Amino acid sequence: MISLALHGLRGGLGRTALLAALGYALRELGERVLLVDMSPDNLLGLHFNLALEQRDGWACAELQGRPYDEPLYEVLEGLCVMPFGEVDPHRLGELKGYQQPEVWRARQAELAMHFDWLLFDLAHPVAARATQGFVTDMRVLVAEAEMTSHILLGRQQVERYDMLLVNRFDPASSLQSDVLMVWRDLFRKRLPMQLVHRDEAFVEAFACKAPVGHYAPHCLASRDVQSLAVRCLARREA
Amino acid sequence: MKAGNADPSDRSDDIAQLRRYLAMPALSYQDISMMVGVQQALQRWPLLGESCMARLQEATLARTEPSKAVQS
Repeated sequence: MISLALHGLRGGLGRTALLAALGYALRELGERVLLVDMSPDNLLGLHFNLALEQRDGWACAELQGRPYDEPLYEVLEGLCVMPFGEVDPHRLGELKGYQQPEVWRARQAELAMHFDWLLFDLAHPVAARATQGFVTDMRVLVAEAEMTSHILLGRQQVERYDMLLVNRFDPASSLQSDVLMVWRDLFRKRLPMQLVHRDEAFVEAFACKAPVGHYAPHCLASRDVQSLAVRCLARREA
Repeated sequence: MKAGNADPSDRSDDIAQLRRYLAMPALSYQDISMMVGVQQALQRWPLLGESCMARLQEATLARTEPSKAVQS
């Protein structure tokens, strides 16, 4: 089993949709995948056709004294989702699984026998303490080829990450092309890079409650995510 | 030797052969067009340039003192 988390340099980089797409692509390659929503926004399940009214999740279970892994949904054969659930914001302070990331080390070990991949949708960008303390086998840094990401990337120890995932890349943008070229120059030996192109199919897929690979399997973004999944798999086999 | 062969995979082999021929194992391949592109990008966008000041100075040094840059 390999655990993986997407770490956003900032919010709003499309990590949840990316993680849903990656989970789907790994499952298409024959892997058993569990996606865990770590965010109180509780959006990950919607990418897999869970009902908007469905409010249960591991955080609700934990607060109610039930086993945290009880709200686990097999949305496709070999693909499971564990939502965060809807929780009163005032009670987030009581949630060990939210406040103490180390709790998930033991949980990862418990879940390991049932899955090949555990994918975590983290709540906060890299600067947050809870994100920094969240340990997984693979850490993927997510950015867009723009200046906020660039400045924040300059403050990161890039060696802590396995890959830089550049999301929503638009080759027609001269600024994005320039930023990408500079990143290739700065990080070429230290951090492998993967591009996912800007693609309307991503937002349309969410509107249809499906991961992009299911909604539009042949679109550019789906092919990019398939490449990402193959690279992740190569890493697992290594 | 085939004329007009621009396959980048052959390029690294050329560099390896040149390295052996010149007995310079430390010689590393530099993609000149990329270096020029990076310099232009750093000049085009002031914040990008400011954030990569060291890189910009390094390249300026390489241009003004080519012999020193090759040695380092």
